[in-house]
Amino acid sequence: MQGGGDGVFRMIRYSDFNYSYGAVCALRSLNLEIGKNELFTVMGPTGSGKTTMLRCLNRLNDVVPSGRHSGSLYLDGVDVYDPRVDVTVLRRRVGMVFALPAVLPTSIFENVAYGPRRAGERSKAALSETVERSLTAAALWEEVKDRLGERAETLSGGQQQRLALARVLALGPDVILLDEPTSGLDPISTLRIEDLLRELSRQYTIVLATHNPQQAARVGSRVGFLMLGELVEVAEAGDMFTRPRDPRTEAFVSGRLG
Amino acid sequence: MLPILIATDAIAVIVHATNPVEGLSSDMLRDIFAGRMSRWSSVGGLDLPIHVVSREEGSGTRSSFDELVMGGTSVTSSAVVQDSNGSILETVASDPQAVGYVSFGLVDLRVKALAVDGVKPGPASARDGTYGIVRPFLFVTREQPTGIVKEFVDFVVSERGQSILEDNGLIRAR
Amino acid sequence: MSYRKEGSPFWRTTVSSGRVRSQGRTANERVVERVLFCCALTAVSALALITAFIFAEGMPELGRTGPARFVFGTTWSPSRGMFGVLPMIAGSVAVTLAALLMGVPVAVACAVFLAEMAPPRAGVLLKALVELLSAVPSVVYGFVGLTTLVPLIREWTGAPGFSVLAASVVLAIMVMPTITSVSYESLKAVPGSYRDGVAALGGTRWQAIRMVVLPAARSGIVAGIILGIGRCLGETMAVLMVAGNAPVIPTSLLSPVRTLTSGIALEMGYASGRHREALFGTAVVLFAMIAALNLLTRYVASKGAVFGGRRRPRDGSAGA
Repeated sequence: MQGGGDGVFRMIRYSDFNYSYGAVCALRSLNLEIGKNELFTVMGPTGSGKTTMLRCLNRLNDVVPSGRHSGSLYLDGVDVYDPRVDVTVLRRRVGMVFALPAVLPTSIFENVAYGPRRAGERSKAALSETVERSLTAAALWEEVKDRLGERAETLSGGQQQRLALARVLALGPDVILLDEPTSGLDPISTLRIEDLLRELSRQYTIVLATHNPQQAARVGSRVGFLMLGELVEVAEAGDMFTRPRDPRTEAFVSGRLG
Repeated sequence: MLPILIATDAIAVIVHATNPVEGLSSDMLRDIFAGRMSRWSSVGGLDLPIHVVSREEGSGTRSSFDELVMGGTSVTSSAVVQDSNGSILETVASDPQAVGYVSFGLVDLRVKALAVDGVKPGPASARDGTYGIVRPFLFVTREQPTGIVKEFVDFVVSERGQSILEDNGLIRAR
Repeated sequence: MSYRKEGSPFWRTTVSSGRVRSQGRTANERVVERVLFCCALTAVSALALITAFIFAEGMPELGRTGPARFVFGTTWSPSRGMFGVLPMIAGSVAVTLAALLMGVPVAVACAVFLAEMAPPRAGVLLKALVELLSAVPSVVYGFVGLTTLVPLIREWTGAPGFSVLAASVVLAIMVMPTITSVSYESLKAVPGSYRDGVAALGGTRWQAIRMVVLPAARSGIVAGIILGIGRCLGETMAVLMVAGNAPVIPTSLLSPVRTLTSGIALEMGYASGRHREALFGTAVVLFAMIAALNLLTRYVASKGAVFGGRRRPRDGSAGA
C-alpha cells in the first residue's frame, strides 16, 4: 500500500475516510496524501474537523464512545484501524502536541524521559542522551540544561510547548501532529515554534492544524482547507492565498469567514 | 423562694431483662458506678464486664443519683453518658451487660429494675421509705401563690392532678 | 486611555454614548453597591457578635481555671468544679482523624471513578445521588448509627459499642459526599488535553489519572478534605448519639469518647453558673481550632496556586 506511482514516498493516506460522533458527521469522504518529511498544514475554522483529522491518526479518538469511522487511513502503508495495530506503539510513532501544553507535574528531565521509560528504556546514560538530543532538537536545551531537575511548571508557556515537542521527539516518532500548538502563545513564541517546525520537517512528517490563515501562510507549506468536515482545497501556501480556487477558501483567507 | 411538693420519684437502677442479677447492696451500687467494681461476676452475675451508663452532669436525675447513691464519690468518667432518660432506657434495653438509672415510671419489660438493699422500687416502697433512692418533685414560687398560679398549684395537688401524675409513673405526694 | 488619541469619529461616538450610559448606570450602581455592602455587613457583624458573645461568656471561666489548666486539664467534672477540656479536644481530633482515614480514600476513589471512568451519563447521575447523601439530616445518620452500628460493634467486640469507631464511621459516611463532590468538580476541571498528553505518549488511562490528573486536581481535593475536617469537627448530633460521651481521653477505637461540640450540646440543657460558662469556654477552644483550620486552608490554597498543575502557563514572552 505504500508509495504512489509518481515515486514520492507517502507517509499518510486518507482514503474515502469518514468520521462521525453519533449523528454528527465530523469528516466526510476525506482523500488526502501526505508525503514523508512533509510539513502539511490543515487550516479551517473552529469545528471544521481539524482536530478529528489529527486524532484519528494516532487513534486518540478511540476514547470517544460515540465515534465511528469508515473508509481507510494508512500510516506508512498500514491501516491504523487494523485490529492488529498496537495502539501504544502507534502513538509512539505518531506523536502529538496539544493547544494547552500539558506538562507532567514532575521535573523537566522526567517529562522528556517519560515516553522512553514507558517504552522500556532503563539505562540512565541512554535516557540522558535521549533527553539532551530531544531538548536540543526542540531548541530548548540551552535554556534548561542547568535546571533539568526543576519542575516543568516553572517554565514559560512557550518553553512548555517546546518541552511538549521534545517529549514527543524523545519517542523517535515518524509523524508529529500539532493541534493549534501556538493558540496560547504570544507572537514571538509563536514565530519560534513555526521556525522550529520548518527545521524539524527535514527529519519528520509534520501535520499542523490551525484556525489561523496567517499562520498557514507563514509556515508556507502545502495547505489543506477544511470546512464542515469537507476538504475544500489543497494547494501550496502561495497559491492558496493568492489564487484560491474555491470561493469558500477565498472567504476564509480574506477573513470573511471563521 | 417557696417550694411546694407535688410528687416524689423513685430512681430505678435498671439492667437488661436477661441479666440474672436481681438486686444489689447500696455499697455494691456505689462501687459499680464509681468504676471500682467492673465485672458482673463480683455481684453474682455472669463473668462479663459491666457497662456503666449514666446521665450528663447538670441533669436532675444525675444530681439526685450522685447525692442519694454515690455520696462523696463520683461516677466513673469512663461511663457511657446519654442525655435523656429515654436514651438510657434504650441503651440498657439493647445491651445485656449495661447498668443504668432512670425514673421508675419509665421502666418497661425490656429492662429489669434491681432491688437495692433488698427492696424493689415501686410506689409502696417509695412512699413508706424502705426504697432509698427517691427524690422530691417541687414547684417553686417566689411567694405564696395567688391568682391563676394558685389555681394551677391547687389543681396539681388535687385528687385529679395527683392521679394524672401517678398515671405517668410518679408517686403521689398526698 | 489610548483610544482617545486616535480621535476617529467612531471612537468618539462610543466614548460619549458610553459616558451617557454610564451616568445612568452610576445612580443605579450606587444603590446596588449600598445594598450589597449592607448584606456583606450583616454577615460580618453576625460573625463579630457571635465571636464577642462566645468570648464574653467563656473567658471568665477560662480566666478562673487558667487558660493552660482549662485547655490541658484532663478532668471534666462540673459538679466538683473541675473544668479540663483536653479529653474533648483529644476526642474531636481522634474522631476526625479516624473518620478521614476511612472516608478520604473512599471519597477520592469514588470521585475518580465518577469523573474519569464511569460513562458520562452514569457519572452525572451517580454524583447527584452521592450529593443527595449530604442532604440527609445529621440526626438521621446518628439514629441509623445508634440502631445498627452501635449494636453491631457491641456484638463483635463485647464493648459498649458507643465508641470512637462508631462516631468515626458515621462521620466518614457523612463527609464522603462533600469530599467526593468537591474532588469530582476539580477532576472535571482538569483540561482533557492533560489526559490526551499522556495517552499520546502511549500511557494508559490509569497512568494519566495518577501522573497528571490527580496532581493537577490536588488543590481542589485538599480543599474538599479540609471541608470534610470542618464537618467532622463541627458535627454534633450524630456524634452525640453514638460516641458514648465519656469525658476521658480515648485509648482505643472502642473507647467511648466526647467531642467538643457534642460535649456542649450534651450539658447545655441543664447547665448554670460556672458550668455554663465553662461550656462557653469549650466553645472558645472550638472556635480557636476552627480558626486555625481556616488559616491552614488559606495556606494550602496559596500553595496550590503555586504548584497546582491547573495554573495557566506563565506569560509566554518570557522564555520564547
